[in-house]
Amino acid sequence: MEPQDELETEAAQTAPEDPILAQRLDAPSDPSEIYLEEASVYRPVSTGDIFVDVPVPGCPADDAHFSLTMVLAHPSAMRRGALLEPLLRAAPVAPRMGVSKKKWSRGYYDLYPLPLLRQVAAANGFELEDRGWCALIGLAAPVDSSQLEVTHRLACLSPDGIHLLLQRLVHADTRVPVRIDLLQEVFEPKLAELEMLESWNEDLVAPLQVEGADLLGALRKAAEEFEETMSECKHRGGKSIRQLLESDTGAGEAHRLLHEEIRRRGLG
Amino acid sequence: MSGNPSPSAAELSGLRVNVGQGAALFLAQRPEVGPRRRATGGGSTTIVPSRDAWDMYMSNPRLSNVYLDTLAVGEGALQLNSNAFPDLADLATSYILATAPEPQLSFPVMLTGTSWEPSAQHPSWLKAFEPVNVHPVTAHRSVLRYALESRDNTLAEIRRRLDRTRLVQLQKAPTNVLKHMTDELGVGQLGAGRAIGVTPTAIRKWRRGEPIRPEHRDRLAQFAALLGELQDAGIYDPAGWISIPVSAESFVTPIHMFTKGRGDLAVLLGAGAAEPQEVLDLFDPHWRTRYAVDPDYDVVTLLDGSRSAVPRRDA
Repeated sequence: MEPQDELETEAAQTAPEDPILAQRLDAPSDPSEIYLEEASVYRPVSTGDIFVDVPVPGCPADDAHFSLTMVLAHPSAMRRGALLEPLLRAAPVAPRMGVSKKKWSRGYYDLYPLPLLRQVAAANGFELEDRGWCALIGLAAPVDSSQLEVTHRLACLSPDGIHLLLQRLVHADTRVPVRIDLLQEVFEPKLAELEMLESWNEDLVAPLQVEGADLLGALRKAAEEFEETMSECKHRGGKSIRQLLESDTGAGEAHRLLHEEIRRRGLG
Repeated sequence: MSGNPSPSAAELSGLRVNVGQGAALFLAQRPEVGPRRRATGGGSTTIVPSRDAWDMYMSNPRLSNVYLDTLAVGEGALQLNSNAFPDLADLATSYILATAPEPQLSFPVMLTGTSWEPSAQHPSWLKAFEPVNVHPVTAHRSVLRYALESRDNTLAEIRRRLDRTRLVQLQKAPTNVLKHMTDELGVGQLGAGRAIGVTPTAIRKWRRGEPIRPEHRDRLAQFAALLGELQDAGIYDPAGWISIPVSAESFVTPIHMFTKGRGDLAVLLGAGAAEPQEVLDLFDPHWRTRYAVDPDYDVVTLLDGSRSAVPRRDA
């Protein structure tokens, strides 16, 4: 049997799983669902993003040499205004025996499985060994956010992947499994805002790239302008777009207003 | 006693009133010919039904005693005012079921001695009374049967409309469908992705004009059709409405129902044609266990506008 097949067989046979937690900790119906199809440079840094060449302090040498890091900071705590917080919680990404390369590995409650990571990274232009990768959330530590450059990002989690990560994180830290629908409801406005910022970048920064502008500088400026737009209290009832987005009934209006602003800036 | 004018028996005789699109169900005992008499239990009545209703009644052999089952169905209803029949002050032998223009509002109407007032909305002056002298189980069963039929017909019609609108949307370029959805209706990539079963990135790619698989194009058209029907049903801001839970007791949202193939229920709810719990029962009879809100935590908005999950005070 090929060594890699032995890895998959071992993963199938030895992954420990508690029957109670199996019911209460969710899993994707397909492993590819936890990722976005592309790690676009216009996507803001987000929970679950995996970067290369960002060391996590205190990481054991055997794991540190892979130099892969997953951002664990939760969506509400990553930014101060337009800027990322100087330090963000992150975990090393490394292979582990028993973790499947292709399937969601159940059990292993102190890590976040990353099946198919090699394929996802390859699609984004990065090469990884064909191993069973996972984020070692038990080894999380603060990293310097200035090192988190979008050009060094090899994978982004989808909204479903982010919810699963947050559920795992809470459980790893507290041994309390939280319902995923609760997490979804709590983080919905923040994830929606993330998507809005990505749209903002795509529509307003991408054209500048064609003209040869510095990407990272343009993204920083766009983030500031986005923050200003989202915070201005000049809409219905004196609310800002962000406040409308966070309300139960204003999300549609928030999206429309932002698109109007994008159109106005694009034309201007 | 009502201050409103009371029609005479002659005026009521043969009177037909259009109650709109709903079915008017009429049920009555045999009319007396001759002097009006005070009725007794199981006895006669001085009710004067409309001609058509009477014909339907006569043709239905079930309508032979005071415990009457259902009814002929058709437009029109009998409107009666007990003020016109002072002898009937203690009488309740007539049992009229009528539905409002939309299917679920059926209720029993019974003549009693109490006064009643015309409805401002329905020229038929229908009003709910306490049913008297009619077997309640029979009456209830009748009401339910017709209400269910009416609701099923409504759902079938909604599905037909959704399908027709879907075909219209399929004719358009997906990028234009998406731009209308996101830019004009305010659907975010997150919401659109959730409805169609893809990531927000996929939505972005399609919006840029990148290829879309046929099954996703169909889902996109279905979703666009749903939003259109909700707008036609009068929903303000359907993009926001579809993410609001149907009931405080469940986390099911209209978009959730759509993802499970029950966009028709979302339209039924949006049109105000069904109560939330009725819609949830149709969606999943076990929703109270499968889709109940977390009994221990509540999602609240904090001072800074962010959300948090906090233990419920009564948990």
